[in-house]
Amino acid sequence: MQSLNNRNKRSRGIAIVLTTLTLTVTLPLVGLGFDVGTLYLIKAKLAAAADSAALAGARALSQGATEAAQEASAMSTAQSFFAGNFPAGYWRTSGAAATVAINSTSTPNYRTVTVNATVQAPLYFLRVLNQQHSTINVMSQAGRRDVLLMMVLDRSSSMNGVVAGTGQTACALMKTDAAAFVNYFAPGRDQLGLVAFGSSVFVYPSTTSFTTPDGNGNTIQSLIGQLTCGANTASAAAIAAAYAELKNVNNPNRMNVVMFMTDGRPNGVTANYYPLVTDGCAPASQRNTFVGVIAQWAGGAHPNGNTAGLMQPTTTSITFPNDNVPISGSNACQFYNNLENVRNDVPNLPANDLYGNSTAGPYSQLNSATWPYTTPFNPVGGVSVPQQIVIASTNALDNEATQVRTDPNLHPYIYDIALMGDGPVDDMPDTLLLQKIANDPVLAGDTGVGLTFYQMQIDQPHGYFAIAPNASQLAVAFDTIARQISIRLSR
Amino acid sequence: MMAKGVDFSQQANQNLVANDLANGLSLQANNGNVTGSTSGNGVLVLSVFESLTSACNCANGGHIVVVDRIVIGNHTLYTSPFGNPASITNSGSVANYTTDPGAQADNVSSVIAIGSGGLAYMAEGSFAFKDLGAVGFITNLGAFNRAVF
Repeated sequence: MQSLNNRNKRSRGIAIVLTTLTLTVTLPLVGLGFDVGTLYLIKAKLAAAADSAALAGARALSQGATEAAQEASAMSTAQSFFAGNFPAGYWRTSGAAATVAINSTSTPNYRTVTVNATVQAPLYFLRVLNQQHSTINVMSQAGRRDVLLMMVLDRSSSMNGVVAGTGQTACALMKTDAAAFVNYFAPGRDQLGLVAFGSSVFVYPSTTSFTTPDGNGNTIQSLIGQLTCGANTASAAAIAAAYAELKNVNNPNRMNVVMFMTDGRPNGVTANYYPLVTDGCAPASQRNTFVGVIAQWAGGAHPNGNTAGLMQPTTTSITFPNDNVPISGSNACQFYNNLENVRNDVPNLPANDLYGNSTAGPYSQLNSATWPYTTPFNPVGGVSVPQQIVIASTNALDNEATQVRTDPNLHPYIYDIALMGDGPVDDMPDTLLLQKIANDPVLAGDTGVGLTFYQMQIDQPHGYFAIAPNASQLAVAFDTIARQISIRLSR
Repeated sequence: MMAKGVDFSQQANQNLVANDLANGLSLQANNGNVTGSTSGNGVLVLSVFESLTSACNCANGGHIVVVDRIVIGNHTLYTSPFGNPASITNSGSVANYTTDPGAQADNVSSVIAIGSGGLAYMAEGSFAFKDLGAVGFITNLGAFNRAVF
């Protein structure tokens, strides 16, 4: 009994010692866990705020008339997005700040926005180590690629109708909206050019000074303002002209883009035409030099009706003075005095257009059940058949777009807009074809028509297709395209 | 409306959000529609805003507008205060955002500043934790977060 009492006496106080020792070890561990957990939470929030600031800053590099203004825009936007995502006093932090740096020289045609963010995070348990707070730093970087963009605008005669409720023609609305589209790009960095087309094609070469008047006092916006609408729709030639400019600049560092707006089916074929041997309009030595446009003048892809040619394929004036003017050197041809006589001089549509695109397919072959492709392409006598000209020019457009998208050096993107509601129903743009031309991701799965022909090609750049149900909706379509390009430029 | 090639108007991608990203939070995808449902304990509102330039020749020129919106989950839990467009297409695009007064969302500037022609992406999430709390004492627990990028 005495022995037991002595043992109890000896054990008295051991719990206090053990508890003290345990707390000495566990309290710092618990504290370390709590404080470190809090630091990680704050760091994650800070990193997300820095990421968003860098990305928003990169996007804002397109806003401003000069590079200096664009950089100022990027810096203020980045600061705003940082503050919007990291509220002052978040988890009792203090001194949250971001510094924004822009580098526009290290990588050609690419500007980076780097955000370094810092904040003082409070410590709770670790204050026993005489640390009141911990400094957290994060860094994030995003960039914006410069773009080389060719605007391709349809100025065909169907654009001349007055749009209900607006009092303006589709042509006038298109000009306003296309001019506004230019404002989404960065002067001094981005490079913009213009192609306007009817039967013939006008090209304004791309420039980084697209808002500064050139030697003739023109800017892209002023040229768009001078456009008048009339003539046919030689779509393949227009896209070929835009693509030629991309190749001429030949800068794969930029994002190369063709932005194509049209309100109707293609109906003009630009090609090398061969007059009849018996026709006196071209001597044998010149028979392979008749480059011009043949178009349907029947009001649609009809089996019968007027056709016209050979019209001049290019113009150097935005006012298109040579609309419906016969090609040079054709004085002896019947079409020289009346374009509708072209069928007497030139009997056949060519197998390829001027740009090497097949006029025979495959688009029309795969759409044999769909108007106006119920008639197979038949080049013989096709010059006199409006429907055949539409078939040939549509095939050429599809093939030209494929040429553009499969360029292994420039990897160009095509964005396009279909303006509906102009002209007869059977002359409305083929929206499925325009989706295919853009390689729009909406065609990634089942196209709904059971044709793999239309499906998005995963190995080709995919653009975006926008539809304007009428010309009053063109502003939305242009704006949507600008937004889609902006998203692609900044990352 | 897409992010990194993922179209959140598609049911399969909404399922990814509901079943993987928000696993355990009772966020229920809404079968691919873009305006949400009335089921579940969570909702995500994904929006794209644009500051339309005054040159846009449109009624909403000079305003910030919501141009895309997709609501995933129970829309009765939370309604975004940033714009209330009249019509949204099946892909999440706001119809007529250049003219619809309901698409105006100038109060976005209370969160972030968007320069003319600029864009902002916003994700708002609200979740109710109905199985937490103590009856009579702690009720209506939930969480809300917003990210702009």
